Amino acid sequence: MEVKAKEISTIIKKELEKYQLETNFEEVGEIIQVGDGIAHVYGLENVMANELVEFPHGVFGMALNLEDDNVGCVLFGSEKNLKEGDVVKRTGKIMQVPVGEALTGRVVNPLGQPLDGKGPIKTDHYSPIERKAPGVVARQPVKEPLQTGIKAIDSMIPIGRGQRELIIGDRQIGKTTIAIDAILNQKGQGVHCIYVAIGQKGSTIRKVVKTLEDHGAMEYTTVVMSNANDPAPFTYIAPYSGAAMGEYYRDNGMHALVIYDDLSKHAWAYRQVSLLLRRPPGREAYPGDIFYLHSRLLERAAKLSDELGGGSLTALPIVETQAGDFSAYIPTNVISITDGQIYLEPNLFYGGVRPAINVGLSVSRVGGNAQIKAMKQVAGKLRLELAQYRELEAFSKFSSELDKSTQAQLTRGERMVEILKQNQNETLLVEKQIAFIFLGTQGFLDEIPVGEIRRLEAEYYQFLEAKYPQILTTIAEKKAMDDELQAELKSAAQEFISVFAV
Amino acid sequence: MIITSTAKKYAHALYDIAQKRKQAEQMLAELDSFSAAMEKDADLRNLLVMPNSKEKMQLLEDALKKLFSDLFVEFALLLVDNNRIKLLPQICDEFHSHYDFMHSRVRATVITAVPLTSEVEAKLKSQLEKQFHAELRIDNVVDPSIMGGFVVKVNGQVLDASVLGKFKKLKIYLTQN
Repeated sequence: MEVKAKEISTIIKKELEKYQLETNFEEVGEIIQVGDGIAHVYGLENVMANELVEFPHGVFGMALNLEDDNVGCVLFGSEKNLKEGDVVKRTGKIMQVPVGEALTGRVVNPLGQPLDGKGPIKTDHYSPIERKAPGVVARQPVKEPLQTGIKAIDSMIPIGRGQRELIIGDRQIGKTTIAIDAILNQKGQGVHCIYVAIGQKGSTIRKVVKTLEDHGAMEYTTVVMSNANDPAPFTYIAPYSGAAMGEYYRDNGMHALVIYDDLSKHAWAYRQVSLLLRRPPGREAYPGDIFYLHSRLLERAAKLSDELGGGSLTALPIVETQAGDFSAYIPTNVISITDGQIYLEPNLFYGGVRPAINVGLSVSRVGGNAQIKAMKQVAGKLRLELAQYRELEAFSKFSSELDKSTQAQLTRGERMVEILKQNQNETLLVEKQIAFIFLGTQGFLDEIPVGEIRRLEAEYYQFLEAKYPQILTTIAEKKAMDDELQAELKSAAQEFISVFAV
Repeated sequence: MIITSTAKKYAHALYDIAQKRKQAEQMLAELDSFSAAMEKDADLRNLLVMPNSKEKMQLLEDALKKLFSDLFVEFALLLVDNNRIKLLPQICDEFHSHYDFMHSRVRATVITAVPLTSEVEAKLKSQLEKQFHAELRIDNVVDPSIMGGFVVKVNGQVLDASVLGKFKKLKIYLTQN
């Protein structure tokens, strides 16, 4: 390639013509000490809490500790070129990120800077990362469903728009998968999704983004990522940035779903920052305000009142437990903040029950109001029957010696467990879920061998779509089951079971 | 200079007492001369920081009494007794700025590549006085590395109108856009 010196100089000349120099008084301080992603700064007398400050070499920081004779700042960048005595400038801006529609389909870092190589983000909307949660008057109870497309969740642990539902469990048993499925199922539902990866491995994030892209979910999703190798301050602000981006939709009468994956790493990052800033450690060396750290984040998820546009922000925080110990500090904190939890269990996962949701320990405290009526009608018995099955499960080895009714409960229970199994990334429309669970609760599957149920499920959907599509559309439209519809569904089921070849 | 909160407390306390006894101006001069002496004379520094004893205090008291006012001698002995004498340069600085603040005076440091002419200095002074609504004193520091223009530092605020600063801003503008 030939480079013409003249071309370059004309470009530089053009740029220089546009350049306007402004000289103003700037408030400055100087670095006393820098290291471990923290800088102590002398001066900056009027700096505000959470204000963005500018270090040399284009590194930014945030003032976290305002003390008598110094200011403790966290650095959003490399401290490599910073040294004692360097000049630090105030920017007068509270830490903020770009928000709005321009962010959909993008992968950004917690400062809102693009990481996907698709060019700069063009938006006029900025929002501070720390914002007050809506007050009591601004809210209304959760009433619309947020369908995750997962049978076990939509039937028994329903999530409503504006709810905060914790996903909790050990490592590698499908927490992220549930969250990703929930995003995939929002396609065409008018829900903007934000996936916040907090201190995750680069390869994991890449895989998540790939899954979202493959299923066309990036069209309505923003990924906020902080890598495991990013400095702790990035990880610390990541969920707040994600919340700020979600709040834009909430405050403009739209719906958003934000996933914090995961808050235990967030707590670790905050612990690191706090200890380096010499804040006193408390239990498990977490600082005293670790509860407030998560409660103020999760309170920002809300369903707004109709006067304010009725927008919502649903939060699905994820917490990783160590060896099933969900009575540890961070898990108990987050459980007490959220409106319920989805508890995943390794035993179930390795026993082939996937998603490995422990129905007994999982609850949704407010989602019941948001569940559609038809689902309530068919799934009401589901939870009870599963609970009874769990009680009797231990006896299943002696099934031949048990009385008839116990045996019946055991067969029903086994089939219920099978009904709730579902493959990764294969979300289901709510009307299909209802039709299939109806089969189970009405006892149509009692005669079918357990091993055949997964195959039956797939064929059943094909059968309904081919022969009785009106049943599915009626359920979707009416959202409730009247006697007529129930009879119709029953006769269709009978017809299907009679032709189903075991 | 970085001024710790301990130095601030000593300086403010000294100012309060000096103001009551109407000796504040005198204190300024005495602090200046003593901290200058400390900076110059290594022997004096060593004597001041060595472990305290009755003899040392007596010696100091006798020596200082001949040169300084009673208030300053008491203050200096207190600092030595509390092992805080190392803070004296800081206390001196803080005393100055506190004195200026109480008398609504501002000290401005002006960095230039060549020494300021009195004409320019007067112009700059009147302009800055308008901006800060206070009586202004200018300390001129010459630093050829800024190439031209000037840098004004007032109360932790900086106005960078130097050629070097402009180049730096231009570099950021050209590389970031």
